[in-house]
Formats: sequence, C-alpha cells, structure tokens
Amino acid sequence: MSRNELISPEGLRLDGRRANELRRHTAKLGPLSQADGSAFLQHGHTKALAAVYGPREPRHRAHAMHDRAYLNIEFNIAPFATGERKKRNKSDKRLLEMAHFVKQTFEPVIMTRLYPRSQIDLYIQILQDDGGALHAAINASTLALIHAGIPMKDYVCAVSVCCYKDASLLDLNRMEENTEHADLTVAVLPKSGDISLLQMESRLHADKLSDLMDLSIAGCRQIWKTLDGVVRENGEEEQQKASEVSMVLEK
Amino acid sequence: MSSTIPPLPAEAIKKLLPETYHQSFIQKGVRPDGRGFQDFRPTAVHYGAITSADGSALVRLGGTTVVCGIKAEVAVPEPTQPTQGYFTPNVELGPMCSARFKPGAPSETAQVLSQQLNTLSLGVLDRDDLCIEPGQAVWALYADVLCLNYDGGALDACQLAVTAALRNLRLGKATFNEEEGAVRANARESQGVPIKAQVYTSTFGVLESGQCLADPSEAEGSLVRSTVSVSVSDQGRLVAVWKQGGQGCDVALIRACLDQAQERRAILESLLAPEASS
Repeated sequence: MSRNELISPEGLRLDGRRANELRRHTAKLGPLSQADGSAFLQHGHTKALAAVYGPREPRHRAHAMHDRAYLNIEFNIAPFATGERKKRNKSDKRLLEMAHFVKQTFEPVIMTRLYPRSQIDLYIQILQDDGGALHAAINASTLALIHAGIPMKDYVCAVSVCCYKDASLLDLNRMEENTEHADLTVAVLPKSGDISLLQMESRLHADKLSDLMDLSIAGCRQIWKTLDGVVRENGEEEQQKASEVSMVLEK
Repeated sequence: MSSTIPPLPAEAIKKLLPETYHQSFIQKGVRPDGRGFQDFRPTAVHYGAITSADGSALVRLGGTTVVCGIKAEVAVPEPTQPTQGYFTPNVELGPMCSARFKPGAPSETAQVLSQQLNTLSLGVLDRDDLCIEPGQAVWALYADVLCLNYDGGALDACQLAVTAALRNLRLGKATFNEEEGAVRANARESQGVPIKAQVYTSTFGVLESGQCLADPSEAEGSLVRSTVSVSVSDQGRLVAVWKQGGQGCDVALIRACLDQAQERRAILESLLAPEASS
C-alpha cells in the first residue's frame, strides 16, 4: 500500500478498518460533579468532554429572550490534543466556527421555549484530536444535555464521511481527514432521519452525495445505539440508587 | 444554631446557610464528607491519559480533576543562558470546571497558579538537562494543565499532575546536526528527563477559631480565613511555603502544617511509585 493510498487492495484502511466501519466508540455519563450534566466520549483516539450548566440566569441581560432560552456554546481544543502543540486563543476563528456549528445543530433540537429568559451553557473540551473533533463534540454534547435533563426532540448523532475513489469511508481519522478528498460531517436526528447539520468544504460530484448520505445516516444510527445504551444504563443505575436511598429512609 | 431558624432539611441548610452547616460539623470534630481535620481527600493518579502528549497524567483529588499534558519542542536558547532549556507551565481554570469561573481571559487565580507551578519547577528540573547543543538548540517543555472539575485544592492537584506528567515524559534522543543546523530526534530511543527532586504540595485551611483543616474542599472555603500551602521535596526538605489570606496565624500552627505535609509526602510518594512510563 503506497503512502497516499487510503485503502489497501484487500479493502482495509490505514488503521485496519473496513470502509464502512466506525472506530471503537465508548461513552460515559456524568464524569464531572460540578456541572449540571456532563459526558465523556471517545471515538478511537479522539476524546471529547462536554459539560452543561443551566438553564440558569443569563450572564448578560442582552442575552435574555422573552420567549426562549439563550444557548451559549464554547468549544475548546487542548494545546496537547494534536501532534503539534498549538495554543489556541479563545477568539480563534476555527474554534468560533466549530462552536457555531454545534449551536446551529442543537438550537432547533433543544426545546428552548420551555425556558424563557434563561441561558444554557454548553462547554466542550477536546482532550485529544485524532480526526472528527466536530462530530465527537456533537455526540458528547447530546449526552451531556440528556444528562442535564434538558428536554430535546431527539438525540443528535453525528459522523464524518469521505469519498475516496469508488469507496465511501466512514468516521475518518486524522490521516484520512488531512487528504484532499471531499469529506463531510453529518448530524442526524435518528428517529425521524432528519438532517440537522451538513458540512462540506470541498468539491464533490453531485452523484456521489446520496451514497455518502446513506452511509452517514447508517453510521449515525449505529452511534445512536451506543449513546442510547449508555443513557439507559445510567438511568437504571440512578433508579437503583434512588430505591436504595428510599429503602434506607423508610427504615 | 439560633432558635429563629425553623427546622430545615440538611440539604436546604447546606445551600442557604453554608457557614452554619459547616460550623455544626466542625463543632463535633468532623467534616461534612466524613473526614477528620487532618485527613486529605482520596487521591488517584493515572499516567499517560493523553496519548498525543509526550508526557501526561490525570489526577483526582476528591472532586477535583486535573489533566496535565506536556509537549516538547526544540527551541533556540537565550543568548545569555546558552545551555538552559525552557519549562513553561500553564493552568487553565475554564468555565467548564465550576460555575464560579467566568468565561473569558485567564483569571487571576489561574495566572497565580501558573506562576506558583513555575516557581516550584525550579526545584524539580535542572534547566541545563534540557540542553541539546549549547547556544543552538534546547528542549522547550510546555506543561498545559486543564482543570476539568474544580472542588478546591487546585495547587495540590496541579502540582501533582505536573510531577506525574514529568515522570511520564519521554523525549526522543536528540542530536544536533551541525551541517544542516537542525535537530534530529530519534523517537525509538526515547528517554525520560532527569528529575532533581520530586516536590509535593499540601494545602491547609485555617479557620477563624484557629483550627486547621487539611485539604479544604470548595464548599469549606467559605469558612476558611487563610490558607497555608507547604511544598516539600522527596528528601524531606522544605521547598516553598505560601500563607495567604488576611488573618494572621500562630507560628506553632505553621509548624504543625509542616509536619502534616511531611506525612502527606510519604503517602503521595507511594502513590506515584508505580512505573510511570506508558
């Protein structure tokens, strides 16, 4: 396999996955005790942490809206997250852009109208970035919002796909992301199949788009299963804890 | 408690009258989380938590969680100190770790912490050990400490994280090529950095009554009038003492803190003992 080949003649990618295979992904609800809701999520070597505070009083009066909550999102990448150290300023354009994408993804999904004149803060920290920081951030945010008990219409699951020669690759790692091939990040509401975010920044033949969309929706459904499993497991644990407490109280 | 306060559930008192809540525990000689006055919170160190860093560690001190990642770069030394490398610690206390930190520029607390870590690092690392070729190239180590969850004891946790990450650090064997004027690092022959002395920090809170609480949590901070931070090296020598806060305190009390810090050092030493290399 030559240096710039992304897929071997046997159909395996650089990290040994098949074209339509996700990286191993694991998630944990509530790793942080200070936040109202938090989640840690890992896609291969990409690690994302999300924390939710609120709904609470807006920090600036200008942000208070009479009919819905203001959604404030901060996206941060740790200086040691990538191969080369990069200290990013808070006003870094790329970080602001990522935060904006996450905001656009969640604004229609969160039922912000239930919390007028308040603010929901979502802080995202990428601890390690091996490709797919945006979709890891979106998946972690979904879990953190659920953990915080903020009503949403549905889960939001995201994944990246790339068009390489005749094949479509799912869930890109850093090496695959750094090539010139067209890649897109898609966020889907798995129940309805609605697309919440679609981001593509390079040229792609229109014929290929539907194939890529099908693959990404299938990938999102798979991620949804994992996320849903984690949420249900957490719910059962919480229920057990609560019943233990009530048993102690009855005594 | 005065009789004017109607009986409230403990949770409500904790939120509404935090001082009364804590005071009633202190009077009985215990703390709300069940610790004695001299007990530190459970501490855990996880080496190599971040694989993209050259050295890293995750430290938990009770509810406080910090992660430290060290990145190494090659830099040109200062002309006045041609053999000295750089070590730059930087602490981030973002709005993620607690509701009391506001978004925006690094807070004063975070900057003071970075400076304290820098001062402590002078006793840990010999900057001359970071030299690759005098006057040409040295290692520059950037230690970024992120606080993920804040519940007091930031200095203790950050210092422990930096110490552990330094132990975990592996640098490629670097050689300076004079013809090219460039440095080549062989990642296969990696080695650790020589550490002069491990430095361990313990913080104590002094109450208005003159009692001393080891490792005060964030909630106990409302009672604490002044804090004493003691740093000791693994040879048992005193490295730094910081006493902060308005209220003056007895010399005997500081001495008691020093003794406790020595005891704590032995525990932290055994905690860090497992092999640090990832």
